[in-house]
Amino acid sequence: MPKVDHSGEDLFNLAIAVVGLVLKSEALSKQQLAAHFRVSERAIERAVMAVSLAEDNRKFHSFFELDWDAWDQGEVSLSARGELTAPPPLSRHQVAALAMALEYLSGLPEYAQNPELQRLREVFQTVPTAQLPSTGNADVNLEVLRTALGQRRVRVRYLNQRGDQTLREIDPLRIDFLADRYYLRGWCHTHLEVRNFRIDRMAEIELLSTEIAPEAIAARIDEEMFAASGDSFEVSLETNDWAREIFWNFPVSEPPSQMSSGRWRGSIKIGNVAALGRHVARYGGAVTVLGPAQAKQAVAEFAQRALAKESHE
Amino acid sequence: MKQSKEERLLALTCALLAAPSFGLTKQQLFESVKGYREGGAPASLDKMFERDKAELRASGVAIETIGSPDSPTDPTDSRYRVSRASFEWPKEFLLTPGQLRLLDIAARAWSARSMSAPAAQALFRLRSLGLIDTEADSGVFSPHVIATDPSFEPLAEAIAELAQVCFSYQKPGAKPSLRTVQPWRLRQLQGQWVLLGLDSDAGAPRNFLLRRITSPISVEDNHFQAPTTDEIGSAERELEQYAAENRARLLLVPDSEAAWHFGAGAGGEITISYMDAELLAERLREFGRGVRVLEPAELSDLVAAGLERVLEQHAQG
Repeated sequence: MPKVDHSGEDLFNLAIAVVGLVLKSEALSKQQLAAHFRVSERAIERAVMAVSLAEDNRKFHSFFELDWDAWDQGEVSLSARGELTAPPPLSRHQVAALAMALEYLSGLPEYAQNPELQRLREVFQTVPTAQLPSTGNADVNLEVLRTALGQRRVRVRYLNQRGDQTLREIDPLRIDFLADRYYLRGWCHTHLEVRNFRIDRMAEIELLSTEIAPEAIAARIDEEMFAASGDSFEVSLETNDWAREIFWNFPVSEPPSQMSSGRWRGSIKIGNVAALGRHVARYGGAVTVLGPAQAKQAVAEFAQRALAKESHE
Repeated sequence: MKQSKEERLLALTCALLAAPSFGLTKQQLFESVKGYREGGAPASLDKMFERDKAELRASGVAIETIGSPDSPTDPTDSRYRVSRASFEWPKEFLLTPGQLRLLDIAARAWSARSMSAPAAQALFRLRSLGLIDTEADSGVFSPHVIATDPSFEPLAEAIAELAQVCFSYQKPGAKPSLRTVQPWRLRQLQGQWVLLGLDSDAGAPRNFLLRRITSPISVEDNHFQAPTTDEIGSAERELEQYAAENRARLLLVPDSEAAWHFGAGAGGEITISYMDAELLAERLREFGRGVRVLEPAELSDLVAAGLERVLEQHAQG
């Protein structure tokens, strides 16, 4: 995590957190504090200065006394005057933000059995969320991938979104969980770049003895999962309110803007027009392709094929 | 040297934390904090104080106002203190490196700034509990909590404030209806954000899919008492039971994406449970001809009707 210098608001939060810790401990070095709070030493210095300057004018004393001799040696030692001994407790918002995310983590197979997480949930008094059955084989595939991550190459049979099966060799780097899907981010030895793979579209994962390649270790993983790739095709869409979520799943070339109440228009970029059908058809009419004609046709064909299967029986 | 805003906020927080349990009056605070003594005219001082209070509340310092018993509505007699009631970490509890790492992952998972900021602030405060070694972050597993629904933020706020909300809600195939709800919690179920709350018309807990909320959230002045863990727990178990009883039988085309996804056994037939027929229909449409719904008929109709609409809209002349 990068060390950052904090804005005013965060300086305040850092200052009260530093006070809380230093009052509990013997003197700590600036360096230790910076590492602990994951900020720069400069940020620690600013926070301690702000603390030492805080004073009660009514009683003509500062709230804390900084040991200046220790400070010159790079150490932070504070003592409190009067009744002030603890930082403010967590607010409801802060508790809610952490508790919701912990609850979210506990729903993932990765953490479901984690005893440390269970203990944290008890402390935050979260109530277990309804466990709804998961569909899909991703859980099984995760097991193998987890042992390979960052270490060994895998060979998988992969079904791409056009329905073609390919055999891929991948150096697995990271697993991302987004909405309700697992993705493997890994160095693809077919394309010689980092690619995203849906884990539920993998079968027969074979752990190879080859260690992952240096170029894979050096590769940068884009934080934006759906970043546009070179060969892209622009499609303009109209959606209703809730189906606007389709725009978050693609690189957007024109962000959705509201046409009239409950109608949105924008453009996305896709790698391959043949893969568009499924993404649009799932919304059952709530997303319409405005153009180009080729994209409309791909969607119509997808729906037609899917319907044919229903009527044949 | 003139006190900076951060220094003033810090001094104000310290003064409030050091205050006796019955709090301090505004006048006492003005005298205690240097920034106010330098502040100028009474009217601008009052404004500054209001802004500071709002800012401290936003950064998680829960300031309480206690009305004067003699004149409860007169703000000049109000006293202020930091609320102790919100949440205190158990005294004997020490975070382990593993727990801190989990909290770190949890805080960083938020993609919405409205949640990532308070989570990061909370982490600062939790780190003040003690100096512990943080386990090296392996960084190989990265969950992302994405909340793009416009109603997410106001609902999360209303939950924290225990404020009743009102919104228009539209179930598929029905007209929108106005709902008044005491919001209890938000959670993600099968990839969807779902609000659990007490529906005031039904007089019972109900689940609301955020994507079906069709109006802005109106937060009312009406506050309610926090639900008990038992109340939430039994609503969660009820939903589990409901989903377990909703069963669909599917036929999957061998070696199709659907068969890979669901991991179908011999004969390609599987039975799955679901929370909401419309949501499952959406998922199934994506598999195209790889999946056929054997039952219930309601689900198979939903899948087909949606595909027909798509075909109609995209057929070219």
